[in-house]
Amino acid sequence: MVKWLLAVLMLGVIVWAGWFLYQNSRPEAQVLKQVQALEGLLNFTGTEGNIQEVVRMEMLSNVPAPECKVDNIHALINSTYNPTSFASAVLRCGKMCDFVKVRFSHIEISINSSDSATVTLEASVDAKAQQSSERLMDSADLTLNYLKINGNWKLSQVSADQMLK
Amino acid sequence: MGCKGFFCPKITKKYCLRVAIVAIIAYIVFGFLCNPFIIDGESMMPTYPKHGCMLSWNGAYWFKPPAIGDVIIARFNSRIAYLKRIVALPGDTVQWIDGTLYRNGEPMNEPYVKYSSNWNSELITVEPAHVYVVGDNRGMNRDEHKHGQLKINRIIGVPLW
Repeated sequence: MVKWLLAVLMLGVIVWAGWFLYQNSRPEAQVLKQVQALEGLLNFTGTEGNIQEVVRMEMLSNVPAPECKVDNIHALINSTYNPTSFASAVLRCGKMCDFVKVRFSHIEISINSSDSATVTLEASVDAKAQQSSERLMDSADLTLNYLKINGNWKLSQVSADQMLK
Repeated sequence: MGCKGFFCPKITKKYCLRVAIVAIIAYIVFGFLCNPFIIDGESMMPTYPKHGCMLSWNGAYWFKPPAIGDVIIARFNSRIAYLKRIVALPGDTVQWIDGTLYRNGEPMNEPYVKYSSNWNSELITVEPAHVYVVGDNRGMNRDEHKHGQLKINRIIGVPLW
């Protein structure tokens, strides 16, 4: 029994350490995950646009800390309708960061009626300043309400509920 | 089984089955029940020192609600979590006056707080389906210490130790 427990523990530690190293060595993997989440939203809204390259560019270049506060993240999501404005929103730098990670998770889509739907998701931002040890972290629950107008889903309202308030 | 047998085992059907079972159990245990974490912050000092390692127990609130004084792990995103202590439940009021935490107008007994502070805050009423969480290290500047109301569904579990 003890042997089995030790084997489970050992394997767990090995798998976790491997996964941890793998994830940290491939930040793009995380970016792609976010992109997939964003693309899920975009598909849902029926919006076209090559967001993938834009997000990849943002994640791998210097992006702003103040703009990335979750208070403002709904603005970023709003602007995903248009990749160019998304890029400019992210690039309006107050402070340059080494790396910024924006993550979306727990995305749930509920269709309220034939012309109304709600998307809820958790959004987080983790940004490191370039020339200091300052780290900005923020997370919020976002609620996006959609209305179907002329056969197309349109974002009608976004609200953010801070994780710690 | 000797050392050689342990590191260079004979690949038999039985051995493969054993490895598969161990892998499945490890995946379930470490993926869903007990997630490993590295502590990267000072807000829970001295109860949980910086750079410590721990495992969570995600079943802590399957059959009971969170309670005052519980140390909890709350999801920040898929890879980061906060380690905090619950100091107020839904409907409670919370206020700091000269470093003392008042819950529902009564000063709280907090033996786990070892560093004194001079925190002051306005009176806050905890919203439904939320708990108020804060770290044990009150010696930090209040602005640098992440604390506040947290949705209960963000709680992953409690530390195993």
